[in-house]
Amino acid sequence: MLLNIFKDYHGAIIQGLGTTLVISGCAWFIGITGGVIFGYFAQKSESFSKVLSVSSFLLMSIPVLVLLFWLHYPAQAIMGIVINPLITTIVTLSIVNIVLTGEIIKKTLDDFPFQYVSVARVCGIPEKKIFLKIKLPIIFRQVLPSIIVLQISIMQMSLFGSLISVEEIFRIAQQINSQIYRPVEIYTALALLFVAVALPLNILAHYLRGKYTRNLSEEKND
Amino acid sequence: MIELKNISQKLNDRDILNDINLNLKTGEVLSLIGPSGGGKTTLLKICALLDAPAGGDVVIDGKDCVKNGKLVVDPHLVWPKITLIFQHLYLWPHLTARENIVLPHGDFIEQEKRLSELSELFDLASHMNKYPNELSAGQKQRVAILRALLLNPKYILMDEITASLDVEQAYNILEIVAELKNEHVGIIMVTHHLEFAKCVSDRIAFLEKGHLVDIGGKEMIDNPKNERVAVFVNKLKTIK
Repeated sequence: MLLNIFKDYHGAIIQGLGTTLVISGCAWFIGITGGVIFGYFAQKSESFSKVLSVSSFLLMSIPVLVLLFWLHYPAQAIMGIVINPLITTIVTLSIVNIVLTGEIIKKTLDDFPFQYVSVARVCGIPEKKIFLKIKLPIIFRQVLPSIIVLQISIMQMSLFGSLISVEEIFRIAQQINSQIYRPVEIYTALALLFVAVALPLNILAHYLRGKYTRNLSEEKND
Repeated sequence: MIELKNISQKLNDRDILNDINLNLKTGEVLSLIGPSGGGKTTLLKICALLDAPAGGDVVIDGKDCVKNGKLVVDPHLVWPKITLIFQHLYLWPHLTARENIVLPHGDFIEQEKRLSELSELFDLASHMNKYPNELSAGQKQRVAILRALLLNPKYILMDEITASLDVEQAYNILEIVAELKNEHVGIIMVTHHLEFAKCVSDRIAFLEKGHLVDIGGKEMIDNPKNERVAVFVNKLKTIK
């Protein structure tokens, strides 16, 4: 039956999956880029830091679904505009991703052991090389696991788009279910699709963790 | 010569260093001893131009580097002529032992032969491709020392470098320090290892609560004239 669902509705499923990936891909790109910039400036400037703290607190308090609905209904009504729900979903998830990525970046920069830089300086290493060869690689290794976990969560949150009529994979599954009423098979197929999408990400995360995030602690004793 | 003139330092309005006057010639070994929190590491950092003092001057080879507590020279021009080996080492954790040593030199190291010799002497040859978290405390300490030695500094500041070394490795460091002295490298060394200080030092300074309590030759260890130094030295000897 599962195979029949894939066979009979493959066009709709591929389209829905494509939409899910577009939402996730855009939210990943905007979120990571914006989050890195936001986090960097939040670490440098007190006012940026306050904005980040307040945004982070609000996002912790307000469920993503409420934020999505708010941006889709009242915000657009107040501004007198109508925006494609797909764009609203991307914007919502990007905001969430920017703030949470920014928090990760800021915390990592806050906690960066400055002594690594001091050692490099007294070794006569120029500042540019210190940044490229010491600071950046250490920070990258420290943020990588958290960032990857966050991106998988962002992809899972993309199914909230179905509630404002975005034709992503969850909504397609609901539509198919309303036609043939086979919830067990359909939602199993949906779960398998999410696993299939998440699997490469998890493998990538595992690979990157293995390659770049060895145990950076200095805990070995005689 | 490194000259520290009337150096003072404050932390949260608390005096860390008070009117310290010291100098170090090339080819001289000066040991700093004294109880923890006496300002020894702070003094080393000021000397290495990593921290600016609250007041006083630092003159290196006749050139004003710090004037009235303000850095007046780009310290990048002074490093690694003056280098510092930190007590906590801070090997870069994403690089192997060899990469930690070679990074300051660019893609290749001109002193490959010396690196091989020293890595053999320090018993590090078979550990050069290990990451810091795979090395023991003593091995990490030796990597940090090796990294500093290959920079060919004119002055080396060492903060408790024998802390994690066994007797044999400490002896190797003694030999290295003697060799560096012969090469006219000036060394300031913070240590609690009195015998080590006695063996290698030309002068010994006792720092406590930010004050330079006494300074003298290596006889300070066996026959301290200052009462406070005598108490401290005797306590350390009793522990040993």
